[in-house]
Amino acid sequence: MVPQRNGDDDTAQSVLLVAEDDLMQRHALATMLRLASFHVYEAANAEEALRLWHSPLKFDALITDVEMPGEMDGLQLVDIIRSSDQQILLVVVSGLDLARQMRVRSQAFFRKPIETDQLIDFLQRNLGRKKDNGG
Amino acid sequence: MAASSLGTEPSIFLVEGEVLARAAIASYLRECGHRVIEASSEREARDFVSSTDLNIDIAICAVPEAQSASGFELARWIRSEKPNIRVLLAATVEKTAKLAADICEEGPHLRRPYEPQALLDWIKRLRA
Repeated sequence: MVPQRNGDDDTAQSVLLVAEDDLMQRHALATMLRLASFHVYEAANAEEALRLWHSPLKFDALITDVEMPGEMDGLQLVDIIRSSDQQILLVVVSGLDLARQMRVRSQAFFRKPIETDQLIDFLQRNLGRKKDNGG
Repeated sequence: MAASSLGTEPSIFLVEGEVLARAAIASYLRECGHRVIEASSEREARDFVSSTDLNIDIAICAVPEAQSASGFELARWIRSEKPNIRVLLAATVEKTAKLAADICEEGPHLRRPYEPQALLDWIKRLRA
């Protein structure tokens, strides 16, 4: 019932957490990722993402927007999650050009509007590689 | 994005402010073949309904009893904006799980993937 992050089972779906405050963008991105066979959980802000993160669910990757309403933004979310999980793939998306800053915090930065094919390709390559490395 | 309207499966608009309950119920509905659009608040729901051209068959407004007035208002507003949407109100997570199970029973592709009590148990585990 509860999809878990990829473990020993090579056939397991990768589980993604998408944090995006714009419902249209969140739904569109999540739909594309589901069509690419990922299991996707949606959060409308960083606090919701952290709530899901602290639940028994296990995630293979976080894809987060930067500017979101609430007490925490996407960068703070990335820092919190990275501090407790070195394995998770962290992807930051933003309408701002933050590529240089993002190199330190996350594995990838995608500028909006996102080329979803590129994002899906990135996730498939990196999550597949993680599995190959036993991550 | 066009891809979000690719499927022909019925679409459910789920308005639920508690992310763990929303995630579990949305997953459940997807498992039985529905397309689910998740809204985290009444404001998000209104913004989406008033601007989207995506087809929505059913809206589930899961609004706690303490906020029932705003829940009724949202339901009434959706009915007036989009009369074709079937609007269902739920004041408790138990009621929402039951509604989700009933919707799964109606089809079209798969029957309910598991009993509503298992869904409630899952939400309880997520919240623990």
